[in-house]
Amino acid sequence: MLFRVNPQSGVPIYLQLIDQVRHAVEIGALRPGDQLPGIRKVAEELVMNPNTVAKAYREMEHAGLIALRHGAGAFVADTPARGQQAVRKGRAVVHRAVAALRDLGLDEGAIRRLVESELAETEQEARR
Amino acid sequence: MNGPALDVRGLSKSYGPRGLTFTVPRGVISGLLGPNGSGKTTTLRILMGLAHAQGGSAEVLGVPAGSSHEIFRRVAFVPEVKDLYPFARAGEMIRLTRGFFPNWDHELEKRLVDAFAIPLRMRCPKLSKGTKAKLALLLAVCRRVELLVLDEPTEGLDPLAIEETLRLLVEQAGHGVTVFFATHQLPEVEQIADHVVMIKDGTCVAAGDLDDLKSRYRRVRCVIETSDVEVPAAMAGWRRDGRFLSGFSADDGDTLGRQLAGSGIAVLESEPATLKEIFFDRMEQA
Repeated sequence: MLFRVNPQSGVPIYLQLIDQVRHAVEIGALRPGDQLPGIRKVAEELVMNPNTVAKAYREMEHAGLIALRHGAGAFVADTPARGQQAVRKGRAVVHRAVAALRDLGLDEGAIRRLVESELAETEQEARR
Repeated sequence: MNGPALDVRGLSKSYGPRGLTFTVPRGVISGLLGPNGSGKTTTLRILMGLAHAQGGSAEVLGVPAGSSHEIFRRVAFVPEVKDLYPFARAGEMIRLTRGFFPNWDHELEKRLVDAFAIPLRMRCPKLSKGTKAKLALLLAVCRRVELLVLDEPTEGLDPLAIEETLRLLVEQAGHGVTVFFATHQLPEVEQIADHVVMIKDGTCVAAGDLDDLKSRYRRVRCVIETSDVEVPAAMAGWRRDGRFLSGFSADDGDTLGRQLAGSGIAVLESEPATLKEIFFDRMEQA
């Protein structure tokens, strides 16, 4: 099964599903045209609410991540190759940055906190 | 047909609900949460016409509660104490019930008798607690109703039986059945529900879409930056530890951020709260 959810996490389950599809597409585990399992199948297999799965699929369609073909199911959309390339390039940037931070003597926790506070700050600035 | 599945307004009884108000939309799985003695069972009994309210009103699928037996073609109730006939064997119990309900799903009955391993020849009182619960659930779902109301459906079941029960409820929801269940098991609610109703002392303290509730509710830690700071009313009851303040915000992070702008208090962390944290916060604050 593509999906794995943690209901006890504070993150809404539908967002967990979306993140997993996004991640699978980014690393190439899911390719354009690949079919996602049906809503009821996911709900019954993971013993979760079908409305929650449907909500995740709707949001993904809205975001252009998947295409819902009536009666046929859900398929991974043709993502612009640009997006995947950007992620691949980004991964190289992160690789270099993490190596540089480790050279400065920072441990995993410190690096994580730095990245998160940087993201939070840029997000706040963007909102202003 | 598009009104709510349950519409409860100002419901009151000398014991149980006290001005209880909430709605449950159609097509959801909704969990009814509240401590022992908060009025969950009495509320369910009033909804099912098994007890009378002294004030307020309650509608089930648009029909006033307790006004007509016709509603039992569209609603099934599984009480906490399973009423099975003491002299009937499990198989007879199924045949008896089947006779009353023309919509009966024979295929589902067969499947569940197998899946739940119901000993058809055993007399009901001899069935284990878990098997009684499964049989009662079978009798309810095979009627093909629009609304299933269950009082602690997994109480006393082993983990395997709990998972089977939840799977069946999810499957029913997949067919468009509305499910409303009272429980103490927060993990079950997080796993299968998309709607919650929390009650305390007979009053509703939170109700609505579970994702909404989770994304609005945040566990927040703040730091007080200057000495002469007035703590805003929104943070009354928060824990103060030196310069740190921690608590829960029922508004999304943005609202709290705006309230705090220029107040000398800065948000350090703001993370989504779990259902357990929301529940405890509602039970303490409300």
